[in-house]
Parts: sequence; C-alpha cells; structure tokens
Amino acid sequence: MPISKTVGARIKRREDPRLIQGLAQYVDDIKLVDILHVAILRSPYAHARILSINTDTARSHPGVVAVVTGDDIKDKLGTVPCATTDPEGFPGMKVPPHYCLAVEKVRLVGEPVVAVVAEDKYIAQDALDLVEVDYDPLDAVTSSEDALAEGAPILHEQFGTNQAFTWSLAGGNIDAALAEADKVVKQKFVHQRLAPNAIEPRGVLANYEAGDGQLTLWSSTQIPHLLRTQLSVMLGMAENRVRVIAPEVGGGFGSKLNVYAEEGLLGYISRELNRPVKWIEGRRENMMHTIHGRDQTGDVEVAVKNDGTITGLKYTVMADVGAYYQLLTPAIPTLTGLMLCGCYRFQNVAMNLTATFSNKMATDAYRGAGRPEATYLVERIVDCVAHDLNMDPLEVRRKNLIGADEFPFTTGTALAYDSGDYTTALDKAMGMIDYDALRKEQAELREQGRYLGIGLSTYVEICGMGPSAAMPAGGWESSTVRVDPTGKVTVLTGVSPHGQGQETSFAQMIADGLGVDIDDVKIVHGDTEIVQYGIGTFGSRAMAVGGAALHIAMEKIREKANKIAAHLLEANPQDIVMDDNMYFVQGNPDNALSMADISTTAHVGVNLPEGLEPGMAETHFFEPSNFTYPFGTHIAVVEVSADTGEIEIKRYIAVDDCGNIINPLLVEGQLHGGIVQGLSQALFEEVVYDEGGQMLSGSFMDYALPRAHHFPRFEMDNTITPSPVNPMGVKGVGEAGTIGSTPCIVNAVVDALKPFGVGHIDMPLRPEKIWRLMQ
Amino acid sequence: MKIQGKYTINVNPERVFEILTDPEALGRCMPGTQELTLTEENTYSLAITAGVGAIKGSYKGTVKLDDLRPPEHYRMIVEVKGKTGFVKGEGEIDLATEGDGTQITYSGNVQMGGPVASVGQRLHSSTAKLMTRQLFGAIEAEAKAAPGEEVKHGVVRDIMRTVKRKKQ
Repeated sequence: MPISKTVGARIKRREDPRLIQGLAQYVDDIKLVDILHVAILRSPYAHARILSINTDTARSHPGVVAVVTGDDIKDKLGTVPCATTDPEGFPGMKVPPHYCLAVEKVRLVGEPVVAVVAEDKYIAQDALDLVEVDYDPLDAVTSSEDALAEGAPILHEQFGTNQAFTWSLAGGNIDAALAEADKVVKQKFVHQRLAPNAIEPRGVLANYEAGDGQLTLWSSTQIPHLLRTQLSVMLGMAENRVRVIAPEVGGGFGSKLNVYAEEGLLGYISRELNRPVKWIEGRRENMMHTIHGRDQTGDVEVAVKNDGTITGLKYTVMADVGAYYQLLTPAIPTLTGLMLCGCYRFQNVAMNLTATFSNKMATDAYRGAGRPEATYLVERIVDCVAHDLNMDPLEVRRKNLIGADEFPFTTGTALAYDSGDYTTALDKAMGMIDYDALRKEQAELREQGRYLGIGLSTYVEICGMGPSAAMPAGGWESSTVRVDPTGKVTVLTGVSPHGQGQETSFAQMIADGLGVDIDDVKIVHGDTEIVQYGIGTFGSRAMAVGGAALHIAMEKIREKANKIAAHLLEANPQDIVMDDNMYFVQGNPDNALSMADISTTAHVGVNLPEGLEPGMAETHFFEPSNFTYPFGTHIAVVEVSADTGEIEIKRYIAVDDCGNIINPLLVEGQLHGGIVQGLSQALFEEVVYDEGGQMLSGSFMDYALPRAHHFPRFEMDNTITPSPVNPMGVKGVGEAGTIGSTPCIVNAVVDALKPFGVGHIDMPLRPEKIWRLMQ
Repeated sequence: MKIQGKYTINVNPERVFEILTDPEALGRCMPGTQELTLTEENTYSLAITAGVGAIKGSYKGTVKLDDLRPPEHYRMIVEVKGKTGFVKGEGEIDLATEGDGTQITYSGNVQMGGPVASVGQRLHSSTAKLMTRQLFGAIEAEAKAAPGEEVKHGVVRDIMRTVKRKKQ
C-alpha cells in the first residue's frame, strides 16, 4: 500500500480530544431513569462450603429492592461460558459449572456470592453488611504442584482430581534430537501471575424493556457481538432481542475479551425487576475477580550442537488456570506451544502441558496471551545456551535465525510464518549501539565493581487473529462503508477499539482511498444494533483483519464511484482516476467530480449507469488466509547496583517490524505501552496469593505498576516486511512490545550478574532478590 | 501471620490476670472495642472496629479463653468477621513475675481473609504491634488506677503513655 496523503502520516488520534476533555461516555457515565444499583458480596474465603445464607435483614433494609443468591439463579441463568472446551482439542478435559453466583461452595477469594440491588449504590454497599453467610472453610490449593499432591483438597469434587486438562504438541523428533545433541541445556522458568489492570475497571448497565422484550446491555467489553451471543444463551433470550453496547472502553489488555458473571447477572436482574440496573467494578474487585494472565511453570530442555546450533526444544509445563474457566482460559497456554520455535530454524519441538485448578482467579488472555510465555522461554534459553557454551548470545542467535530467503517458513509447530527478515532487524538494532564498545565498557566497569548488562531479544509473535479454522469462535472481521448523499462517510466496523486508535487509522484509509477529507469520516463501533456482526478487538487483529475488511468494502465503494463518475463524465470506468479528492478522466482534471457529487447522484438515482444499484453502501466480511507474524529485535543496557540490587535501564533499543504502517504515531504508542508492560512483568508485577488462598497483592500499594520515571527514552526504529495475508500488508502491533521486551531485560540483568555465577533469575527482578544474589 | 512479643507492666501478675479476664476492663483496654460481653463461661461476644491501611471496618465474633492457669497462663481464641473480611487468631499468653511487675509473653497465629488480607499486607504486622502496645499500655493504666477511678484510653493516651515509658 503506497503512502499517500494520510496513510503513513503521523496523524494525531482523533479520539483524544473527547477523552482528555472528559467528554467521553463510559458505562458509569450513562444514566437512565429509575436506575437501580447492584453491589456484590464476594467470598472472603479461598475455599469453603456455604452452609447458609441469610438475606432477611438485607431485604428489609430501606432502599433495598432485591437480594439475589446462587440458589435463586442456578436454574434460571446460564453459566459463565468457556469457548474452548472442544473435546477433540482437549481430550478428557474437566469442565466445571461456573455459576454467576456461587452455588454450594466458594472456590476463590472474590467469587460473587450474593447480589444486592438497591435504590442507590451506597445503600447497596451498606446492605452487603447485613447479609449473613455461614461458611465452613476448607483447605486451599494455590499452586499446580499442591493441586496434584496426594490428599490435596479437591476444588470440584465430581472430578476427584484438580487436574483440569492436558495438552500436547509435537513436531519432528524431539527425543532423537535430545539423544543426539552434543549438549542438552535445561532451565526451569516461572511466568508469574499478572493482573491486567485496565485503567477503567469493568462495568455493566442492563436495561430490560418489557414492552418489546428487549434487553440493552452496556458493558466495558472488547467483544460486544460475542458477548451478545453468549448473553442470549445465558438468559435464554432470542439474540435479536439482546443489544450490547460497548461505549467508551478504558483499556482492556485482553481482560475484557471475556464474558463475566456480572454481565449475565445484571441482564437477569434487570429482566426480573423490569428496571435498569448498574454495577461498576471497584479497583479491588478488579484485582480479585477480573481475569489474570500467565501463571505457567515449566522446564525447558534444548538440544544443541557444540557450535551453538539448536536442534530441538522440549517444554514440560504446568499451567495454574484458577478455579473456573473463563472464555478462553484453556486456549492461552496452547498459544505458547505454537510459538515455541520463536524465530529459529530448529524443527524438533514438543510441549506437554498439564493444567490444574486452584483457589485463584481464572487466567485468560492478557496482552500477548500465551506468546509472551513462549518468547520469554525461547529467548532466555538461547542466552542459557550461550552461557553454557561460552558463546556470545548474539552469535547463537545469528547461527539459528531463519533467513530472509527461507520464507514462507513452516515451523516445527506447523505454523507458516507469512514473511520476515529477522537478520535485517537484528542488524539495524545492533547498528544503533556500539556492541564491541559496550562489551569493553562492561569489562572495565566490572573491574571497578560496577555491573553493566547487555540483553538481546529477537522475537517473533503470532498476530492478526486469525483464520476462522484456528479460532474458537470465528476469526474473520466485518466492515461496512456508507457514503451519505452529501459525501460524508460512515464506517461500521466489527472490531471494537478501546485505546488502539482505529477511529484515526481507519479514517486515514478512507480519506485516501475514497478521496474525502479525514474530518468527513466517522468510525462507528461497539453497538450490536447498529454494526453488523463482528468478532472484536484482541490478538493484534483490529488493523490486520478489521482493517482488511474495511479496505475491501472501501474498494467496492471506489469501484462504484468510478462507474458513476465514468457515466457522468461519459468515459470508461477504468479511465477514471482520483487525485486530490477529485474524480476525473485521466488527463482531464479540469472536468472533475467530488465524492459528494458522485454520492448525490447515487442517492438521487435518476442518472445512474444501466443496471447499477442506487445508494452508496458496501459491506465486506474478511476471512484471513493465515495469521501474521510481526517480529523485531530489542536490546537493553542495564546497570545493577551492587549496593541496593536496583536495576537502572540505561538504554532500551527497539527495532520492530509490523509490516506496512498506516500511522507511525499509533504504532509507536502501541510499542511504548507494550514495552513498558513487558518490562513491568520482568521487573515489578506479581499477583501473590498466600498459602490459604488470600490475595496479598490486592491494591496498588502491593501490586507494583510501573511509572514513567522507571524507564529511559526508548530508542526506536523499524524495518518493513509487508505481510502477504491482507491487502494492506500490515501485521499488527498491539502486543509486540510486551512480547519482545520481557526476556530482553532479564537477559540483560543475568548478563550483568555473570561475575556472580548467576545463570538465571526468576521474575519479577526485585532489588531484594538481586541484592541477595550479589552477596 | 505470626505475632509474638514481650511487654513488661509495672503491676503484679495477679492484678494483670484479673484485668485480662475481666470483660468490662478488657473491653475498655482493647482498642476499638464496642462491645465485649460474657456469653458463657470464658466465652465473650465481641464487636470491634479496626483499620489496616485504607481498610477500616467493623467486625463481630467471639473471644474464648482456654487453658486458664491463673495467674500465669491462658490461651485466647478470637474469631471475628465483617464486611472487610475475617480475622481468626489463636495465642498463648504467659505472665511471669519480674521484679515488682509482670512480664507478659505472647505468641500466636493470625489468619486474615477477604479485603482486609488483600490490602496493605505490609501494614499487618505493624498494625498488630501497635494494637498490642495499646492494649498492654491500657491494661497497665487500668491496673494502676485507684478503685472506682475512671481510666481514659485511646490513641492520644497511648502516645502519651509510650512517651512516658520511654522517658523512664
């Protein structure tokens, strides 16, 4: 796609003025007449039997309208859905019922037990105090190891075990590779549990109108259409009587790519009471009961030759998935499996996964979703190989990287990488530092008792999700382009952006493609009653799949515009060109038409080419032929303080390749945020439960989020390797930074601590941990 | 969470033991106590307010005394719950004569759940320490008071007592 007027330009986000002026409407900003407020009583126990619930006092409290328990809903409201329980994909999988309010037992701290509905939110909160729940506490399970130990308390007694499912993947012959290897390098890796922490917590407003039997549900969600389908199932309502609206959504990072108990519950309560009801999640509720990410612990073994060639990789891993499944819980660790080869050539690979239940929140998609785990272990083990063979990590990478001439490349895990040029990205990043000088400086500083570390990460990730055949619920995306009689353009997109900036990038595409002013383009999303069915925004797919649907719908409009212009200008459609927002016959720019002229003609309908439909609206449903595979090289230079164990990031270099770029400003924004989140996993973040299953990291005093002062100015550049999978040649960039950065910083810190004989450190790299290693 | 410590009071063990097992006096001494009533032998119902960091809440439950060997030992079992979670604790209290006074040695295990556990974990042991100091300080003041004299307790009193002790 050639860069023309706006595509490829650094255009500021058109959505920002309303956001920074407080003019945007989030769920909590929406007010309806007669609204009621819901507060949820949550379990203080990680694991307990519910002996009795007494709601009498709460019910008679002035202002309380209803009190709902698990017994009230268990036969009337469907369970929280999981889309990935296909017995073919996961033979023998245990699928526990996941009620919207706990029935008989609670299995994690924060599990919803009772919902109180009141005239205002303060009364609802106060009335929670009046509900008496008698629990019989049970022992808790808080790790995969404990879950499978003999005599462990069983979460879901009907299964007789805490093993949730197993999954394996194999390509080539890993056993032979390990047996024939000059050396087998092994390392255990822990991917700690993280909380996504979107700036806006979740929130739901449900309004059932008995007159036409219609439920409208506003939710802070990434997937309004998928939510609509699931709600219709949960509530037993016809899907065309359910309307879901995702208004302004304040970030998600995957945590809102889900269907939550509260969404079903609010729909149910509104229908029962025939009044609008609202629930807004508190920050502590968000920590406890919005999905978590990661939580894998596994052993990696790689087969290597003495020259550093990697011939195979085996990953034996336990995933602690929490107490219940959420929408995509089981699928996440399988994505780790797919990306186990990273950007390397080796073909022998195997993964054996055991997933276990525990008294913790469900894990699910958090920015990167399974792929950060893969990139981390692959990029760390490459450094371990270098360490064990006494080679430079750069040299090991160069030896194993897939060459640019090898694409399309089929990995040991049977993925067909669309396009790539890993060496060029690596070279470009290396060109931004003086590697030899840094190594020299490192040696000199070590003499003075100062510890400099240099870390590399050459990552590839799987994006643009994805072909429907590889997805649990459709991988295509939709777009409608409509031109008004006056020439203004409205786009209805099935993706539901919540911070990614598609209102800007999609408008850029339309402005260039149809020859209209960018201010004359409106992007509509998130309302299932207005927008044709779509899949949603996640998996770095909004541009790569949603943008492709838009591009093709736009091409259809363009074709129609050419036909009408040709008719009006008495020429052939193929001779019509568009330049500077005017359509004319090639070589005759003086006799030109605007999109408004053409669209007026299309709508008036009296002067159209023979057989052409009136109107100006086209829809396209785009099915991608493959995933896309963005990649890049990150380099971190750190200094570790021997006195305090603190890590100073001195330089951070990122060369990323996300294919063609529609808006460099948006791409940089995504990369900045992504890199920060990835570094934050490496350095700060961890959800901690104690042995009893109590969450110890329940507030921002205890769960460390990064601040701007923790990071240097990122030095960024890119290479461009277009993807053949979509007409714009884009790859997607939403998760790249998160995926590439985590191993980079750990590699740098381990490199710094080499004089202390340190070969690996588990994340997060807290100063205390580092300091102890240096003593 | 494990708690343990020692505290010396300038009053003999018999008198300390008496206050520690007198619901009225103990109710006055325990910070935040709103109600402490004997319900059966050695069992009390308790209503208390306490704050850990940003989590302030009221709790209701029971206090049980067990293994009573006046004036040197008893065991205390506390179970309270409220909107902000639950607290379960069990502790051994030993009193020994030290000069003219009493050395109180306490050790126990406290389990917390719900919001109170999830917030300000780092504050728990310091909060427990503070509350214990307030309790014993108050007991000492109570024990030294003349019969019938009304003793005032609270945060300000506690600070004043602590300063006074440090001066001594």
